[in-house]
Amino acid sequence: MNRRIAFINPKGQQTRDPEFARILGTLINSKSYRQAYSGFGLSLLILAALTPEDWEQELIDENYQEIDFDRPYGLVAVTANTQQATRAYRIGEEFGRRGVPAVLGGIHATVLPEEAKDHFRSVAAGEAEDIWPRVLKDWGKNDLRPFYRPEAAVDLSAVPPPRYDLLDRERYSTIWVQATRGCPHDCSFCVASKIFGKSYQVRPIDRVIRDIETVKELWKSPNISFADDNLFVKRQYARDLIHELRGLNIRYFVQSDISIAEDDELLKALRDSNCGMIFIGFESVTASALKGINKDRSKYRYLNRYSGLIQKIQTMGIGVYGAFIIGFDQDTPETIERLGDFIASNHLYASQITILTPYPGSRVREELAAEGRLLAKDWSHYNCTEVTFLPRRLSPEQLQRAYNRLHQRVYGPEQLKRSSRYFIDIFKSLE
Amino acid sequence: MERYSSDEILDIISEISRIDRAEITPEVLIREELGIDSLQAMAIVARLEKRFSIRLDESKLFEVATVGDFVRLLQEKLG
Repeated sequence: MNRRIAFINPKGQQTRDPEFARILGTLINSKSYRQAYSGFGLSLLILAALTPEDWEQELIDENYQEIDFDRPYGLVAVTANTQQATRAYRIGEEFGRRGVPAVLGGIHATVLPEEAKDHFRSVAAGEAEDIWPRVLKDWGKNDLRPFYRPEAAVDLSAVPPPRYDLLDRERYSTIWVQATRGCPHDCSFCVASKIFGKSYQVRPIDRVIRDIETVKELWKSPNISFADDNLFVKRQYARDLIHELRGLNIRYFVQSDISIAEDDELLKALRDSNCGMIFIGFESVTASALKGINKDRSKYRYLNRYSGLIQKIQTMGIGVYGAFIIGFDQDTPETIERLGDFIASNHLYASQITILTPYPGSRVREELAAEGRLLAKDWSHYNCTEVTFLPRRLSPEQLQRAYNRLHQRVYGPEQLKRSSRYFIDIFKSLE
Repeated sequence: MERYSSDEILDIISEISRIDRAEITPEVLIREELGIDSLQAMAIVARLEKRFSIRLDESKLFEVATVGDFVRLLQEKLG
């Protein structure tokens, strides 16, 4: 049998809104941000690691390479988030026309397997580690099933080291490493809890360190980004891991919730181990919006302390990369303006501002669908920079304009200059 | 006016970025080749400002691409 396999990451688009695309092109740091966060997701690298060595493996990132649909592959594996789904479906159809079996996995196929099946020979709905060996076994018997779903919980200690060696070293400088999987917060806009349940699993620390050492052998100066939705849910595990990172001489980034700022010991350990930035989902600075995000109101409870806690982290020389969403039912032009004030006055190192996007599998989508507020747009518009539903207190056009203006303000030269001076003065005080 | 040498600036970049001094040469790209992020670049500027008792124009930071650009930034200020 033809044991040549292609692992394909379909082309994605940052935005399809022409005005937002124009604004992005004018921002001083847009190029450096694209470069800095140009990492390649882990899922295909783990699939490759789960594939026996007697397969000829090819990794194709369609953002950089064309797919040769006529190349003789025995099997094709594609992963896609929702924004990539439309393109992924065309890829599945192209290979299908040529009689090449193609399998789609990833977040989108996991929440909408029936839709995905219309375009692919097989759909893998769930975590790959349990599913992929069965796919290969059935392929060997020429008996691929239409759907593959997990039969057992994935044991993270058994996840093999990702095949980082398949990545083009010149192309990617941010390398993702995974230590944990899952998130207990179950936010209304997020599908992580839908996919992983509310369970939170950790990998053995020695496995994580081994991955980092592999990355260090392959790249001279990698930026290591932890792919975990929240690395700090199990605090003792996080402490032990960060302690081990100290001796590795790496620069790295993590994701957390704001409660990390209350843990002085952990913050100090992060700084001493050369953590550059913490990505934190603040989501909103409007109290009524935050109240509705999750049942435990974990974000709302911190709202009044956001500023003080951001300052505490940043004055240690660690940047806060704040994530915010606009388009909640409570949002108005005024609340969006206040968000801009908040970002500016707190000198956030960076901000990821997105438009509320009703991803399939999320509670937000169920609610908006029930109210007839979903706009008929294909999945390629689900990139977090475009309006895909009817906002409550704004028109879609008003929300899009407010979003575009907010970017111009937050990433405008004046704001970047003020933020840079803020951090330069912090570093001087730390000298 | 403080005196400086290019070597001293390169030493500072090496110390703050924790990158081996041998890899810090004027022509090397700080982001793409050394992996220095903008926060580390600000820490380097802070050290230079303190060491030479100057205040650099922070907007010039966005124009810095190579290690040599850092040296020129200081040259422009110190003459």
